[in-house]
Amino acid sequence: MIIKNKFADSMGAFRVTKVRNQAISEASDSPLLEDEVTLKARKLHQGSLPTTVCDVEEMCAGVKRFTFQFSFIPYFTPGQYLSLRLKIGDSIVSRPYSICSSRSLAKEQHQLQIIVKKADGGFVSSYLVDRLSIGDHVEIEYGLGEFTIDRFRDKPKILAIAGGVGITPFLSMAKSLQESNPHGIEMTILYGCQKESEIVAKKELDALNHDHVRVIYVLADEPSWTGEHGFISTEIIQKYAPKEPYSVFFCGPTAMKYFVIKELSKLKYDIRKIRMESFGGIDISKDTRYPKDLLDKYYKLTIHRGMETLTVDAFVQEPIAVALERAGIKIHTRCRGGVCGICRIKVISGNVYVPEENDGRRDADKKLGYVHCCHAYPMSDLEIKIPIE
Amino acid sequence: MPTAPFKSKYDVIVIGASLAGLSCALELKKHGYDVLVLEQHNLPGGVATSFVRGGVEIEASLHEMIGVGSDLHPLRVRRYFEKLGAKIDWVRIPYCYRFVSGDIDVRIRAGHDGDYSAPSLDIANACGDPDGKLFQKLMDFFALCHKVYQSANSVNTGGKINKLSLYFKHHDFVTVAGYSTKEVFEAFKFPQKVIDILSAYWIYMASPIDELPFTLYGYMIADYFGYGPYIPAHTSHDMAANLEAAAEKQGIQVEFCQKVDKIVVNNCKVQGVRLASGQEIAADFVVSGAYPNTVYSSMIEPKSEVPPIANKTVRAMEVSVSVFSVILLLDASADELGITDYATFYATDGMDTSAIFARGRTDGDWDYITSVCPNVIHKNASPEGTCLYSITYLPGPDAFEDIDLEHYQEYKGRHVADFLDKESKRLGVNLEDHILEIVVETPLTVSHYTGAYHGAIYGYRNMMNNHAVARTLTKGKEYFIDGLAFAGAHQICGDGMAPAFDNGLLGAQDVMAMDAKRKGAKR
Repeated sequence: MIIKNKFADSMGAFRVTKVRNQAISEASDSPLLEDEVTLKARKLHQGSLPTTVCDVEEMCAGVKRFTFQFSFIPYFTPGQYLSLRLKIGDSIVSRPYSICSSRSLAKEQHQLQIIVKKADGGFVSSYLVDRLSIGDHVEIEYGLGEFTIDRFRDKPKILAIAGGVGITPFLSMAKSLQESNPHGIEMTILYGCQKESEIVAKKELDALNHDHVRVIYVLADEPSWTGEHGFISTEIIQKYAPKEPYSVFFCGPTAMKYFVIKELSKLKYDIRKIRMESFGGIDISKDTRYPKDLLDKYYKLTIHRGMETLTVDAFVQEPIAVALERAGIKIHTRCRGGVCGICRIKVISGNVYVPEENDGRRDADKKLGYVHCCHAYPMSDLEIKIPIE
Repeated sequence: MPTAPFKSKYDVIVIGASLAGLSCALELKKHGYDVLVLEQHNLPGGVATSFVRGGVEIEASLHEMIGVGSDLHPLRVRRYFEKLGAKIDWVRIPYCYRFVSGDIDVRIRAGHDGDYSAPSLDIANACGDPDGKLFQKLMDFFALCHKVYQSANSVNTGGKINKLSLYFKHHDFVTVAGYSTKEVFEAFKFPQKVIDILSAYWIYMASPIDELPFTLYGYMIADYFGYGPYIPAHTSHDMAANLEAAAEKQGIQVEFCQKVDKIVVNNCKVQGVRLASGQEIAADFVVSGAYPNTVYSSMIEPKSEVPPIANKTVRAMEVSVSVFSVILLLDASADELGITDYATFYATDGMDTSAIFARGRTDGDWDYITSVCPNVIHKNASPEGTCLYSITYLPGPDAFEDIDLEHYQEYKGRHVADFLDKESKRLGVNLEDHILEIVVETPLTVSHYTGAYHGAIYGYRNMMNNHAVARTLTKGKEYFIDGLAFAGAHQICGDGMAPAFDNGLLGAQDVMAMDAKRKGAKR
């Protein structure tokens, strides 16, 4: 094969070496610069950072709003959550909370807000509501999760269904829409609570209740209420849902989630399209797939962390992440629901129960014995490998 | 029982548990080195990874790969995993691609086990070949590509090369070494339409055909057209996770969530690394997955240890492209949506690769779109009644430099809208009506997850003045800091998931070459 001529063809390797050497000799030897793209990515995803509590406000009984001061703009998309990292006694814990504040508060004041309801027996929520005060320092990772309005996926009409403190992401969305709404989104919020006194941020919601945002309170247990009563049923949804095609977002307790899914499927709504965020955790003792004879047992966790080996006890009804946190062993978690995968660890030996719902593991990880430790329960003594912190 | 997480010293520290990093670590372990792999992310693989959305595992980056081959004629990546004892479920893609540009709309079949007649026939038929001469010419062209392929493989795995043996044993390889892809196309006197169709894969090398060394292009298409493209059924994370598992089984310490901040150097010799946590770990050698740009600009400690020649060499090379990808989970099957092809290359404004490339370096029009629908070849890629669809362009490293974070969402949105519009029109389906999940990857995404310089996924641009052959011939002279080697797309074999394994091997060879030199000096 001849490309140009025999001589030129035979000298190719020589030619390309020569031009490369020449390019190097002609290049500047001044120090190389860090690149703009990486610096921007770092500004966008700052990781876990120290913040200061700059405001605490009691919203209603056992419910408080906390404002965290950052030293830069904490970029986030309304609907996203943040993860608090705390040292409580000997435990090192992290917990996710939806951001409830607006974009402009982040942009102008460098602040983010969350609303926390003290849960029965809630280790972290009790600490936050009872103890966390102005001036305290908290480590925060923010801008997490995909519970956000996407202008390509979602219809311009949004039906938001909230239960209890599940209103928080919608509060952020509604406030941010009021500030800027380039794609003309209209949001109808069906907000379910037991009593009027439990409505979180009612004044703010009422103030938002015009133009692009509409709030309908649905109270289950308030006889004197003149508005909607009962649960957020097919009838209520039909009455208030937009006439045009709409997208459904749900945030509330797990039990309410199943109810709402059932009601929406009666309306022939494609339930694959519901964006859902729920809280309240999982009770594996109620999981029919879980072997009942294992309940209430404790197993031994042997933990490899780099060259170190540690051992702790683990209660079968609690995910491995909780056993680690109780023992003061740092483990990075975010969603606490099995989905995000940040707490991926390797199970070297032993049996683990992973609830099927929200098992966000990759195929290869299932095959090779990895679990997301916020969503994995010990069923025997275990040997695991966790990242060094 | 040890109470510190790390040993006080390792023979080699590999930065990054990428395919290249892990295969480098495995190679070094095989030669008796004690290896520590440090990965900043919580997953192995670098860009060879996946994510889960809406309960569906979705490939993050891989469209198709070379180096797999059939069960009967396994190529090096398939053999590599077989040797590791890892079972990867490979799926063959029967067509190399569908190519759409102006009045051209063709599907080109992939050949089997080194037989090029199917693709030659498809290209010849698409361009008109009444006397069969074009078919024969295409067969000759692919035969040349295959020669280059075989020579490059033997050079790569054979270790030492010298110019004489190259000339006699690998004549065709030498012949084309000095020419661009375009020059070789012209030597075959192919009609423009054939050149356009043959150029479709240019985006996988991300250099216009008049700048792209034919050696590399010929190598790639010899494999794709002759043996067929493949993907792992369970995404590229399956490769990464299996490599990690194999590495640990061999006794390599692999640690996640460990960001290396500094490579400590003293008197031109590597001493070890310092982690973001402040901890220092000593090592005789460091293999960096981070780009040389990042290493020399911000990792070498102290900065005064960066030799000026390293800066010159890095500056003489151009950082290659990054990625902008819109990844969709759609609410209907590929059949229902009328999606018939796994991979489509769509040149929306002609096939002048120089012009396309130039526009891709700006925030302007990106008019070479690759779309991929894995469900076409792999029914279980997503649940029944859904399909995955991705739309990708590889913009130049400059395209994202000037955006401000304030307007990042709008910037992304503009390109997403453009991609969805172009693809919806081509498919005759309004994609926006079918989206269950949408994920947009940008250079910032890549930089965030992998730390890659500029979010670049392809290493240094393949150009005639940065030719892999030249880099191979001069590599011994480019050990600027004793003990520092590289394993990633910035290594000589460049971008792609199969070349990643070769890049790992090259990094390991560099370590061993430096080690031999040290031992020789001691004697």
